[in-house]
Amino acid sequence: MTKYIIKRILLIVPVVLAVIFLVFGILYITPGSSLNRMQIYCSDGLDPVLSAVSAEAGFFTRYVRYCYNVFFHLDFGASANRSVSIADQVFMRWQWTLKLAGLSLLVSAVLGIPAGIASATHPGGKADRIISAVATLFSSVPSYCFAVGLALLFALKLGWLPSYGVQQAGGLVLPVVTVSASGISQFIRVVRAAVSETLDKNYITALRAAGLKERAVIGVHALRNALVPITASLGETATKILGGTFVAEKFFAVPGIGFYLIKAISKVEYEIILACAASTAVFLVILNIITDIICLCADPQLRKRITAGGGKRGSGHA
Amino acid sequence: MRSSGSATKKEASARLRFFKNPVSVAALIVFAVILFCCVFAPVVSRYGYAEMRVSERFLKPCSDHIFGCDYAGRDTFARVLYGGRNTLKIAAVATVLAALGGMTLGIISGICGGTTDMLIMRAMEILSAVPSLLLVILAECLMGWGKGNFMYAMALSALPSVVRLIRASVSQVMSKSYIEASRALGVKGLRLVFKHILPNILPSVFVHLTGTFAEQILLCSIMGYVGVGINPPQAEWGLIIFEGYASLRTAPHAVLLPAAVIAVCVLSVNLIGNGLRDAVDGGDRSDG
Repeated sequence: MTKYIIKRILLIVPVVLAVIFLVFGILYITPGSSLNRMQIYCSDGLDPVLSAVSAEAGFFTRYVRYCYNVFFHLDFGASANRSVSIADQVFMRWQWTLKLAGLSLLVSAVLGIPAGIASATHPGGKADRIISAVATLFSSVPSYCFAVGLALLFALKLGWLPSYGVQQAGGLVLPVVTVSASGISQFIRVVRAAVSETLDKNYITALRAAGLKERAVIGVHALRNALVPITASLGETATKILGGTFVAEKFFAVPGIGFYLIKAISKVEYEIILACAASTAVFLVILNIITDIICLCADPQLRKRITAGGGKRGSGHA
Repeated sequence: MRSSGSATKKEASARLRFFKNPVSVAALIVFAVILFCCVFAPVVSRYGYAEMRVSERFLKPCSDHIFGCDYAGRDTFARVLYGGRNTLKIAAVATVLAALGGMTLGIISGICGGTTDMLIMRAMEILSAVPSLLLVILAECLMGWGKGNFMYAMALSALPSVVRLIRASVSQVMSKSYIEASRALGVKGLRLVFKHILPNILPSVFVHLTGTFAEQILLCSIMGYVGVGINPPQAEWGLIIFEGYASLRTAPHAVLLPAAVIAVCVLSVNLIGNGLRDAVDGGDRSDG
């Protein structure tokens, strides 16, 4: 198992390189891209290695040099007018994005998981119907529509919270609520499905027949087994929440990575688009690998299969 | 023959269950009305999506303009309808593309297994690790801004979940005895796929695609809202909200009414999906 984990962690390197290759490649062949004709800049002036050959440097040279700069010097180059280091901006903005996304994930989990459990343990009951309705509603209302409603009610009509400006007190409340809405519905759906599937199993019936209290059946035995599919979906949930964060950043003017990306797109700054896209992709790759490892720790069956079958997951037909 | 006969019976009972559920029927009617109005927008609305009257800027809803007018004096109702045309068309095309691609890859993956399966699933894993917004933005960089070409990228972002679902259903069906029987009788290749596998996985796939369609509507309008979707003189649901937001304080109706239409539309699609799922699942359960 340790071997598998190490293998998975080492796998980060080629996957990250491949992801950057893809993003770099797409932006490189874009008509009018600055990545293929400009001289290559570091944050403090012309790139020393490539400035000598920069006019003739081809795609591959540029890609390798870009990766080298990013990984060994944490340097994403400079913006088009060479006034700011993109790396500084990227790190500063990721802090806001992570703060927003992390808080939203926390709020969604705290509200969504108990709601999902309550819904699964009383199927067809009043609680189940209300919770399912809320989940459907939250996943149906577009986040920007939800944000409009919140801003109108709490910022304009009641004046309780600011509709923009995260530096102010309470500035993060509305963005977090906006992002959490879709996160909650996601959690409810996943948890409900996982718990109700576990409750259908024979061993739960056996435990109930043995006279175990319902609370112990659900809290200890059902939940532990339902945890596996819930963790497995955590990566997807986090990706969704990150996507929602981008929209909320744009709406509430949070200076996060999504806001930076969208601004870069409207100004057509390829270096910044590349830095935002690459850093997001890398972040998600690492996140997925972490959830994989957590899954492995939570699921003894998966662990057994991996140690026995070398991680092969083929279905074996035909 | 018998299996196809019982399949139609199952289908009919599922249909009956769907139409017995008042929520699904209501959702279906609401969606049909929205769809009809959008498709026949030139007939339903007397105004064009870009017709401006400066004297009617920020007009409150009245009998002439039931949704009022926006900052440029354009009829909001007309813009919502024409916007729905764009949004729903793009979302539908993206869903159909994702369905076709997903079925092909999912069936290949489920039947072939082995290395082919592994390669396809790894590719899907990488694809699903990229947020759809980012994928669409990169595709737009490549194909030019605001031309609606990004529906290919939207289809690509929906592909992994469709492939995964179809692969799982195919491998489930493959282990059933009727497949074994037909293989023993010498049925293979495309005939096996179209005659025996596809009819059996189609209901669950269709339910999933309803959800995909709802997600694609959201994604398309989010693109419009963020400013990387359809270009401004045209109408698009997200774009309408974005344009109205600047005047939220003075003319909230220019945002709230379109927002309500979008929310109701996506909600109705999701409810139709829920109804279909309950109808199809119920059939499986009663069959044992």
